[in-house]
Formats: sequence, C-alpha cells, structure tokens
Amino acid sequence: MSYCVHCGVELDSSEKRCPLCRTPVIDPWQDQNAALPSEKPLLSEQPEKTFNKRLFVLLVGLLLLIPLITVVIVNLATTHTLTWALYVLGSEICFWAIFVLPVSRSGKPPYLYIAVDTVVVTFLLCMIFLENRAADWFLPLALPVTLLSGLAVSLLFVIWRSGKTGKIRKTGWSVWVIACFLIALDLTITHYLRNALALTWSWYAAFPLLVISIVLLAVSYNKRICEWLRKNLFM
Amino acid sequence: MFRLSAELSEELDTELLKTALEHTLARLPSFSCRLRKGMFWYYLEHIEGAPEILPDVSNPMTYFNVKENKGFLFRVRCCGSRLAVEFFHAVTDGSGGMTFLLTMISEYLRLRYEVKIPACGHVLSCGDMPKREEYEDSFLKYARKETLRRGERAAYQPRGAAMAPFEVSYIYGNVPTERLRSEAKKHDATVGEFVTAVLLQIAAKLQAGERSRAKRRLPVKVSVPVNLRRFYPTKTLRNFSSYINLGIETRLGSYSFDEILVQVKGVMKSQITEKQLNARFSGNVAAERLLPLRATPLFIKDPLMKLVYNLQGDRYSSLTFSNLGRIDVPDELRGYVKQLDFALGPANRKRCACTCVSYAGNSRFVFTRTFESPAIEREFFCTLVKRGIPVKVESNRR
Repeated sequence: MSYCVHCGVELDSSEKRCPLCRTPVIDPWQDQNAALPSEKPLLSEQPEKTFNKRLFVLLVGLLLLIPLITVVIVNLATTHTLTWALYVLGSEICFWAIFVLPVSRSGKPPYLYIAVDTVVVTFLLCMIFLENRAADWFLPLALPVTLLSGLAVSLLFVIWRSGKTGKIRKTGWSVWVIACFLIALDLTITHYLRNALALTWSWYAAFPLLVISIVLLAVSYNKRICEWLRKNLFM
Repeated sequence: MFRLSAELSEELDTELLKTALEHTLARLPSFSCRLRKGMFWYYLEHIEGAPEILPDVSNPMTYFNVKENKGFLFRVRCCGSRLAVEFFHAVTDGSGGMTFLLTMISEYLRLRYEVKIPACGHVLSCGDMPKREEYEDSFLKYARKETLRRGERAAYQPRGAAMAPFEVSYIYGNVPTERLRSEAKKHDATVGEFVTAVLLQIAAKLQAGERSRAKRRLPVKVSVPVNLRRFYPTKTLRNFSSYINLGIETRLGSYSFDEILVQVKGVMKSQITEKQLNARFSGNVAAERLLPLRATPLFIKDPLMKLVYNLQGDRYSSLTFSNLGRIDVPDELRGYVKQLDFALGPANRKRCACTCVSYAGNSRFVFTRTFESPAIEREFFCTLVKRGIPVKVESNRR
C-alpha cells in the first residue's frame, strides 16, 4: 500500500498519482515497469457526433418564414389580394421540397424525393400560369418538360443504383437516357412552337451521344476491353 | 442522476444477470417506465422488457440517451465483479435505488448458487407479487394545504476551470465508520452533521480566496437531501425525498468549526421535522395543481421551465451532500457483497457533489466534480487525516 506524502491519504494500488494533489506515487519496493492492477474501466462514453436535423429544419423554416410573411403583408397592403407573393410562396415550397425534405426525412427511397420534386415544380409552374395567363404554355410545354425531366432523373437513379452492373455499362445507359431526353425535349418544344413533331437542334447533341452509348454498351459486353479500360483509365 | 454500485466477491455472469434483471423488473414494475410527452405534462408510462446490460465506462452519467436504452430511465452496467445501476431521479431516490440493486443481486445469487436470501430491509423477494404501495406517489398522498414560502438567498458557487465535455472526476474515499462516528461524537454530533460542517468550512475557505467581493458576501450552503420515509408510513420505492439548504453567512465574519457545527445542528433540528418538510413538498404539489399551470400546454411550459431552471436552478447551495446512511443487508448476502458505492451525477451549475454510504464497517465518500481542481476533496480528506481518521482514496481517472 502506498501513501501520498502531501495529503497523508492511503492510495489504491491502481493509482499512479494521488488523485487529490497529483503527486506521483513512488514505491521503492514496487517494480516501476510492472503494470499496476487496475479494475478501472477503459471505455469512455461520448455521444456520436450527429447532424441535428431538427435544428436544421427549424432554422431553415424560420429563415424561409421571415421573407414569406414580409412579402405577404406587403402584397396584401398594396394590392389587397395575394398576387406576386404567391411566386415567393411557390419558390419556397420548391426550395423546401428539393433541399430540406431529403434531410428531414432521410432514409426514404430517392424516387419518392424525385416524385415530390416533380409535383412541386409542376405546382409552381401551374401557379405562375394561373396568375399570368398571357399565353397557353403550361399544358403543351411546361408540364411535359417537367414530367420528362422527372422521368429522366428517375431512370438515371435506377441505372446507377443497380449494384451488379459495371460502370461502363451504367455510363452507356446513362448517355442513352440523356440522348433520349434531349430528343423528347426537342420534339416537345417544336410541337409547342410550330405545332409539328420534328427534330431540330437535338440531332447535333443526341446523335453523338447515341453513338457513344452504343460503343460503351458494346464494350461493356466484351470483358477483355473492359479490363483494359479499367486498368488504363483507373476506373 | 445518481449511481449505485456493488462490488461482489467474484466476476459477474452477464447472462444470469440479465435474467435477474428481468425478474427484478417483474417484482418492481415502477422501474419499468419511460417518460412520455403529453399535451400538458410529461408522464411515466409502463413498458415491457428490460434494458441491455452495458459495459462500465470511466465517465459514467455524463451521457444518457434514453432512446438508446429502450426508453428505460435507468441503466445497468457491469465490469468484472462490479455491478452498477444509474437512475434518473424521476424514477426513484437513493433508498429506492438501493432496494432495486440489492434485490437484483439477491436474485442473481439465487439463480447462480440457489442461495435463498431472506427479504428484509432493502432486499425484496422476486417471488412475491408487486405491491401497490411500492409505486404510489407519496408526495400526492401526504401533501397538505399549508405551504411555506421558499425565498432564500443564492449561495456561493465554487468554480474552476471546466473539464472537457463528457469528462467527470469521481474520487472515492474509504473511511472506517467507527472512527468517523467517534470523531463526530467528540463534537456531540451525528456523522451527517459533522461532515456537513466540514464541507461548509471548506467551502467558506474557498470563498475567502475569491477576488470578487460580491462572491465573498454570498452565504455558503450545503444542500442535504432528506429521506421522507422516516416521517411517513410509506413503502413506496418511487422518489420520496426532500432537501434542506443549510449554511452560514460568511459576510458576518470568520467561523470556527465549532460555530459552524452549532449552526448546522440547530438548522437540522429545526428544519428536518415532519411539518417543515411537508410544507416544503406541499408547495411543489400545490404548484402542480394550480389551474393556470395545468391548463398551459407543454410546448409553452417546457421552455419556460427550462429558463427558470437555468436562472434559478442550483443557485441556492454551494455543494450537495447526500448521505445514504448505513446499509444493512442479510447475513447471507454479506459474504457476497464486498462494497457499496453511491455517486451523484454531474449537475449543470453545481460542479461538485459529495455522497456517503456506510457498509460493513466502511464509510465510502464519493466526490463528483466537473472542474479541474480537486481542492474540495483534498481539503476534506486531509481534514479527516489530520483528525486521525485514516482515508484510502482512488479515482476514476487514469
């Protein structure tokens, strides 16, 4: 047994220093290099550092609420009806759906977020159209473009989330989806503008992309070329 | 929070311990509860199952995620031959917690060695049915209409350089109970009065070294919890304790130890009476029953109560001294339980607390501290050593 020379207290055998005054324990009869018997637990407990989602959502909510309340009050005060304040409301709903919802409700399948984003953007465009009916652009142009974008993004997600397919094949299919999207986009715009289905600018973009896609897909089925590409391009 | 631990004579079998815990919870259902948020109040809801038995850590009671603990408001830890249970005060107090711990140990020994430990004192039999009086709310039952105003002055708070987050210091001191008792008897005082007076003297000494005049003029007080079961015929295992803040006004001058002891004895005699303590807790019960308070939704009450706690909270005492007293166990259990410990968890404002529990001729003091300087513990144990009382210390820090 050892005693602290300053405090006069007896020290437990596991103590290398007096806990009261930090004086080192020197016992000439004890081997200084020997490990002291200790029943003290080694583990120390601390919470894992996690991102505080609730705080983030609350903060962003407050930040969005302040300009919204301001514009609603100003809009009502000036025009006595809600007109341009609705654009702000729609934009904030979009912002919330695109950036905040995936954080606050994480763990859901990404297709849900894409679907919500598509619906919210459609709603915003519809609201803009209803407020400002200068031309009929929502049904022939805005809605198809939004739905096509949502579909393209969903297809890209499907391609890249499939675990077993190689990267070259995934790239090939992704390029193919982008090419098809551009073609569909071109057809939609041309139909809206000229009331006819014709390809104009998308040839220049889609054709090379389709060629690249076919090459990549063909290569992906040849194991030797894949191996060569993987080694030389560090894929 | 507080922690009760027992050092057994051999290494624990965690599988058997798990079974013993389940049996103990079946016998003592008041511990199987979780805190739920209602519209107007928090409330306790019974839950099934048992928490996991976790390995012990070097910094217990610094972090407690109730969700990770399946909602239970107590946690069981085990390391070698030491079994520890950490409780929230919402579930029980020191006396109830000791009953839980010793009952679990008895059940564990029954499963392991088929030892039959008679149910007496803190030990209950897991074979019996739960009794309603063990989970009654004795505060509600014994509260009366008359209350006392609780205005008092804020006390001096010993401070120091704070430790890193989730770090805490526990310093344990073993003192022979008879030596301590005989020293207290020399001053015609109980152990509780004697230790409280020593703590007050130490706090006054620390206060004298403060540079701020405002801090030097504050009273020095020690918060002493009181087990209300002494005054009422209750068998509840839920929290049924109150506290008193007793101290000295150091701005009136320098106090000798005997003067402090006279003050402590006088206040304890006058404050630790059934009427005074009843008036104290009846005030809390009356506040709970106020219609405006009951009708206020929780989302308004919660931040307000937190604000009040942060402003008022632990301001009215410098230190806490919680004495669980002498724990007697049946002879059959004595051979298996070598040592008992009782420690308070780190508090927000009050950075130092002292506890004491006496078992098998040994009084074990535990100081909980979240600032670097061990001045209070050093002064305390050195005071005992100077009075000829041998002390053996150890700490949780390496």
